[in-house]
Amino acid sequence: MNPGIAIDIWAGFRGQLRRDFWGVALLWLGLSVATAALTFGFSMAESSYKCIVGLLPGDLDRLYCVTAFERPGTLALEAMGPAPGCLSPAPGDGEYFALSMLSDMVDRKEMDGFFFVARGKTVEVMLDGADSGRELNAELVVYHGYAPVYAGDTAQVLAKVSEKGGVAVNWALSCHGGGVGTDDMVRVSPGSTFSIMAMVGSRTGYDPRPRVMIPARAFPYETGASEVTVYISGGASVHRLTASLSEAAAKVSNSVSVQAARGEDAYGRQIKQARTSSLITAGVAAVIAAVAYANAGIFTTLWVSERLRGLALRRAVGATPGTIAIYVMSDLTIIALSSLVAGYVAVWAIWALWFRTNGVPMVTWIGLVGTSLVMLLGTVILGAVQCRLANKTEPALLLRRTV
Amino acid sequence: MIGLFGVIRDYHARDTTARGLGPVSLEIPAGQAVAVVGASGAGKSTLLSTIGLLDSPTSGVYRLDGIDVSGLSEKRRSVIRRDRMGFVFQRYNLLDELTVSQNVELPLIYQGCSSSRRREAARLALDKVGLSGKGRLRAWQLSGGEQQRVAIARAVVGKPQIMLCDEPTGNLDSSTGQLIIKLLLDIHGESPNRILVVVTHNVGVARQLDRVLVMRDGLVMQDGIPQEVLAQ
Ligand SMILES: Nc1ncnc2c1ncn2[C@@H]1O[C@H](COP(=O)(O)OP(=O)(O)O)[C@@H](O)[C@H]1O
Ligand SMILES: [Mg+2]
Repeated sequence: MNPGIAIDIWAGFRGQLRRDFWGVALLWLGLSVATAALTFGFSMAESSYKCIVGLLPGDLDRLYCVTAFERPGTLALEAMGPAPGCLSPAPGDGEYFALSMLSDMVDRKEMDGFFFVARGKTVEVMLDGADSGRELNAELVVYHGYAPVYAGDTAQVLAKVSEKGGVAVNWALSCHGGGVGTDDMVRVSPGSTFSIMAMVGSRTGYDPRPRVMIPARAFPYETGASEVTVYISGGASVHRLTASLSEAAAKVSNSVSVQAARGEDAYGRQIKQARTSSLITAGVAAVIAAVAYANAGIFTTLWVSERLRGLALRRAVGATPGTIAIYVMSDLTIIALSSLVAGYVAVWAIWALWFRTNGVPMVTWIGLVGTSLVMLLGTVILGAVQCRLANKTEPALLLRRTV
Repeated sequence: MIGLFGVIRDYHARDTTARGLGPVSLEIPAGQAVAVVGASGAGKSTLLSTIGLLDSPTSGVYRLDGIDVSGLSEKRRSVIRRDRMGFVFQRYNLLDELTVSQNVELPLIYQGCSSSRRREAARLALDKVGLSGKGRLRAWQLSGGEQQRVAIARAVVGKPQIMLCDEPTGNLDSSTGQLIIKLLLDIHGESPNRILVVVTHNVGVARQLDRVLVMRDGLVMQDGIPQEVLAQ
């Protein structure tokens, strides 16, 4: 482009800014809000999607969710916790499946392994940093045997951790615990201290709930669960397993019934839930962005109409329609780019000051790139409309109209 | 050479059509200085815009040096405006966000001149209109007469073949207006082939040009040398 035109564009932009500062400020604010909304919307949608995908352990056909229900009035218990898999709080308060009994079953090879969330215990952990600990609300996952917990090779990692008697923690716990990692200590109240031997799960923050994976052998309390995730041995029958678990549960309460759902079914329900919520998040973000763009559309129309006098005069002295389009697009690009930057700064500030300490998943690249693409598309569409406005009318009529 | 043949400009609004100009047929040979007079609403500005390719005729043919330009695309018309036309309007002339010199340089930017050539040409043009040394001021810092002189400098800086002035003295007091007219005539005298068309209400101004067109209701009612036409 001709450098003279660039200088003229910049001069025109500054002139408009001086004439209509508040109009520009509003336009800019609207687009910045849209940027922030879209970034969070896209990021959350991606996070909740990846959260499901990332947490799906392999071997789904050997994975079962075994739940003990008290028969009267048990339905209400279905609507529990949002965490994927059986890591969520179990329905029913009773500790129907005792830890020792489950461990025995693994040792007798009736199943390959299990894991459950220890309830009724204090699950706060003390992170022994330099001098003082820090209390964190974390989930305590007790496991034994083959326990993938997360996708990938977590089963092997957890087996190693179990051998050495330490614990594993996930990245969310590290993130919330000021970067605590392997070789640091974790104290499970009251009293027992464990060394962190491994980090598991997705590093990128899709899994926002801090978790401590503790081997059943090292777990200092006799406890149990009403919901447990089991891996049955290859070739074993789930009916036999359910039968022995039923028998055990009947010792605790005679009104209890035991149900086993395929891992896929159990996860499937949550995938649906998470999909809906990610759709809703993305939808809300889209609505905010649409409102901001409508607002931007109105203001750019105003902007261009206020610049029409200058543009008409430039047409009169020989600016071609293409040159006029460069003027309009440059104006819009300056505004769009600056609001993109401002929006991202706002995103960073909101995340750093508030979201990070509240367990909301972090902003993702897809969120940032997606937002940039939407802003780009919006700028191109608005620009095309405004170029038409500035170019289609005869210059004589524009000059007359813009006196 | 300008040639208009049965040129009509109609303005359409909803379901009514108003005639702004025409039918008008006239020729202006190279080098002629023409005054256009007539009451407000007579179609003077519309005629000027049509000649300057700022507006397209609804029907009729406009030939510029024998080439039909009535149906050209906006892009080709803008190139003709850039290379062959210079405009001076009554108002809305200069851009406040630019310096005086930048205002004058504007047509040269679109012609693709280098910045040093632009600055030199703008300086010469400003010298010619008696505004040496005012190039760095903003347009709004000048008086009305000075602003109109800047506009004239901008109109001539690209050495146009046709100069079109729509009531250039309309907003000025009569002595300043007389200076502007004298300036326009001086500039016109310097290049023998340049056409000058000036819309004016002022009979004294019209008297100084080669030819006068008297317009009413979109039509050219009289056309001739000033002595004959203005005598009536
Ligand atoms: N954009 C327009 N829409 C409708 N009518 C117009 C428009 N521009 C000019 N006219 C009409 O065309 C006629 C000629 O206008 P104009 O050329 O401006 O006259 P003058 O310059 O002689 O005062 C007037 O009656 C005016 O109302
Ligand atoms: Mg007029």
